[in-house]
Amino acid sequence: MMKFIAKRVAQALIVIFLITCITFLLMNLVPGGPFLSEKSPSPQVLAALEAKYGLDKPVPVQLKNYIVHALQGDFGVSMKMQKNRPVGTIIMEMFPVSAKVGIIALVGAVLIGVPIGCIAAYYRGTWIDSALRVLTTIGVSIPGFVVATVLLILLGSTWKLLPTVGLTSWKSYIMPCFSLAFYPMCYIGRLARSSMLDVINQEYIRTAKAKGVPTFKIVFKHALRNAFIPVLTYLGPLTAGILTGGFVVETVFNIPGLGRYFVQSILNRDYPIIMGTTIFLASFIVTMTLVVDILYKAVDPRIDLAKGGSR
Amino acid sequence: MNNMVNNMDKKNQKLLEVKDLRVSFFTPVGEVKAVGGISYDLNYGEVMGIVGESGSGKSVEAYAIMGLLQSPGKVVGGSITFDGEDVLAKSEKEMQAFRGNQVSMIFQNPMTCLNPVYTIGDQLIEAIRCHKKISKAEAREKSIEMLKLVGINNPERRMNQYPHEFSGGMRQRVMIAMGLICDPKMLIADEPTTALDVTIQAQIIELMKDIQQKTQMAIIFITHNLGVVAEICDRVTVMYAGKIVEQGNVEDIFYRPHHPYTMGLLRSMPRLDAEEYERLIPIEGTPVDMLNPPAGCPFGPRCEHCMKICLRREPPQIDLGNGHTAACWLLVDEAKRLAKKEETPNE
Repeated sequence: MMKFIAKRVAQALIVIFLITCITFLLMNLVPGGPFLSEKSPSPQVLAALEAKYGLDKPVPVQLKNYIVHALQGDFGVSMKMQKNRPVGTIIMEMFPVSAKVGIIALVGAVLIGVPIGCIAAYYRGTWIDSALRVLTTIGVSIPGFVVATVLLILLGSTWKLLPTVGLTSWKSYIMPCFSLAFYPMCYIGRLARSSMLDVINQEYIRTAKAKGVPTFKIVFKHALRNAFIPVLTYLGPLTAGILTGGFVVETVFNIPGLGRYFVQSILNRDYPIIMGTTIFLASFIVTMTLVVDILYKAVDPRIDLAKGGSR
Repeated sequence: MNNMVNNMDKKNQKLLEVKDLRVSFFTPVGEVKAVGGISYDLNYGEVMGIVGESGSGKSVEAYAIMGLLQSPGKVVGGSITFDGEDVLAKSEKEMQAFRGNQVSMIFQNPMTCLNPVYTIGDQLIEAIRCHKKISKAEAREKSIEMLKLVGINNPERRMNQYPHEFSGGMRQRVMIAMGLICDPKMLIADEPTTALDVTIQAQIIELMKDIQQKTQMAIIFITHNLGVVAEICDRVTVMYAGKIVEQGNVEDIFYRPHHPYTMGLLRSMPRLDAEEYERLIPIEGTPVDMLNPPAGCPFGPRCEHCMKICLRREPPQIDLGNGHTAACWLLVDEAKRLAKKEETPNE
């Protein structure tokens, strides 16, 4: 087990290193720079600024410097958006805002999505199944900004039930969380349904019935645990993605979260912020994937982690 | 073993009474009458074998008793009375209390019948606690005791293991332990040895015999293996195409079979006492198409003694005495003769 984790951590470090390099190079390939805008400063000022932030050196040298500094825990300072504030501080300030909305959305997506899948599978072929399938299909095909906008117009503007901007009271969490959760909820529902359908016809389910186990327990104890692996696989990257915030939802509801900031940093060519947020997101995803792999073993004892985590 | 005394007392009393049971599967291409009106009784402590080829409805009939028929299967007629209670009238909740407690069932393939993600102990304890309000520790103790009974070594350690750590024969033993754990009055064994290799089969049969003697529990033993039937059963029911063709105690069926199908089954079975030149004689033809069953006797088209009437009208069950019945037109005359014979001494 420890050997497995050590191996995976080593792999993860390599992945993060590669992501760092690729992002850095791509970022520099994109035309423009942090200090170029409609009112560009004079060439002398530009040269001075570039020299200050080390942008005058060749790209490979910049990359080397960045990595050396990053390994020491220094991810640079914002060049433009929050001038000269350390990137680490900015991320740690923004992340909790996104994470708060994200956790609620994630928990909601799982707690509603999984039962939707179970119920649909149990009542397969009936109108309940059909209704849930229509709902989940709509959920995975409507883009997030449509959900967010429709909610905003109906609940926020037309009926004035919920606040439209910011995160001031618990009420203001409802729409952003729902918009963020709707797609994953429906996706999880579909995943859970298809894998439950497979499990529910297994012979051990019949054994459980023959033992006299109540239906609820058969579905949510015997079947669900066997059907959970695909859902778990999806949950890893989803957790990282949803906790770091959705750009669309944060933009529509004007939430000062990390997701929105990430995209804005790209538009602004604020190089250290782009790098910082990318590395943060990448590390998060890699970590969650590892956590999921370890959880596989907890869900299905037949999985042998030492053999690469396959059944 | 609380039931043991009970079972002993009630010996020769009816435990299960199946009357004209009909089960159909409503498939897109039509209704398949998987079980077409069968009747039989089972006494307390009795072991009955149900024999028949694949698709003869023997398992379906057992699922009907357990209330485990899956859509599109449905009981369309008849009655099942177990210990004085109408099983078919029970609600789903009552059936949950019935299954595993009054009647339990073990299945053909032990490799896939245990839930792979829970320990054996978990699954055994659950089986008890579904029906009896006892503490986990007591349930655990009882489970260990049952594992010992079915011959699993080191049961304390085995309790914490997962099914994939057991061999096929061991898993079937666990299934048997699970089936017996609530002291049911009856056990339905649906081809419990079919998926096991021959030496393990013998062990499992031996174990079931042993347990039956200890508990005096009634068993319905579904199989297509006549050797197993001879080994363990008191009575045999032979099914063909969803109907009972012959029924009787083991000696009558094996030594005095009256239905051509039973005779055919016996001829196609390898025997130790066969002469070297003797060949196994297969039953010609193929099983009936259950979507379009023939009008008369279902076995008619394959029967070497087939008469005109066999293809037109269904044969009645002929009583051959001593609980031995067979459904065959050939026996109608014989039955008359037997009846006459019985009358003569009285005159």
